[in-house]
Amino acid sequence: MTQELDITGDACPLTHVKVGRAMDLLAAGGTLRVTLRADALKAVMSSLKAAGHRVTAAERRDDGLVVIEVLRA
Amino acid sequence: MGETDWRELKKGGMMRQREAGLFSVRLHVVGGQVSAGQLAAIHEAASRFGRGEVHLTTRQGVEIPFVPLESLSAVKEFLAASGVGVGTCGPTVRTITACQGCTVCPSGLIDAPALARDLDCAFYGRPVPHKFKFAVTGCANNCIKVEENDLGIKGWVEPGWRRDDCTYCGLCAAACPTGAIRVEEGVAVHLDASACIGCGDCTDACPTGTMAVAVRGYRLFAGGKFGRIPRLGVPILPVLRDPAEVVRVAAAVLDFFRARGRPGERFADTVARTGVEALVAHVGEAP
Repeated sequence: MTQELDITGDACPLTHVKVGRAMDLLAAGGTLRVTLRADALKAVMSSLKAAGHRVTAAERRDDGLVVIEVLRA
Repeated sequence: MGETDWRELKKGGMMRQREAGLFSVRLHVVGGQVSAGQLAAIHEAASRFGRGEVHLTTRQGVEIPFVPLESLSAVKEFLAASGVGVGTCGPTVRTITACQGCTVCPSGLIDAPALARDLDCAFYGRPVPHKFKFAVTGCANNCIKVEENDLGIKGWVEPGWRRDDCTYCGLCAAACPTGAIRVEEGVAVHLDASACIGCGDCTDACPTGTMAVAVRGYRLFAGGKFGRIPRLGVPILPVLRDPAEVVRVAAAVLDFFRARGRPGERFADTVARTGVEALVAHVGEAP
């Protein structure tokens, strides 16, 4: 089951805090699909990798936003 | 007291105030780090010898103003007993500023306070043609503003890309704040080193680890200053990997300043006169 999260309106540190919280609420093996701005990538990706989650897909949209799919560790 | 005596006092961190007979006593601080014990001693000294005031300077220094001439020796002795040294002024290597670097800050790439201590140990208070300011900042965020200094050191990541496992997702390019990365899908990821600011955002953003840290080290910027006519320092040398190498290069930079700088000339003006190439050549030849 894939959950959706849009953090395009959030600023650091809310970006990675919201993603971290959404990952915590997922069951192991669940997937979170996150829409974010490019300037949030560093903090969000760093925190996901530090928590051991795996980004399985990434896409840059034409409007400049980024969509990533994260598999819960 | 003659002018020479005032100058000597100033070099020793005792700066004459507007009011006759009063001095502002500059303390020796490295990278803005002061222990609670030192703060207590500074508090006591300011109350006992000054007017109970402390001034925090623009470059992370601490000064105790309103100290009478006759108390200068006493305040120095009192502070020394608590491990607080008196600072410097005049044509010398000045306070070395630093951020907290990777010891505290999540963004820090290098141990900025440790490098500041190494530089302080090697060069603080040493004579030069005009004041010389070092600054160390932990990363590209540049909280310490290293390019405003005679020699600034910035924590730097040089990214490197490898083809294996790269999915060409483009997150590295999306994360890059300067557009230094171009993804040619299925073929290669191109890095423009001249546009890279060493932030490492691309390596953080990469989901597969194929855009990774190739070098984590120290980038040097020489010939910056602020004051009346500001000038930004320019990058010299490739990224250095070792703090001892930074100290060696700093020694060579100071040698160059002593050899080529005119009395009363800021290092930025010396470099502007000689060309930065002369500095780089000198540093490259130094042992």
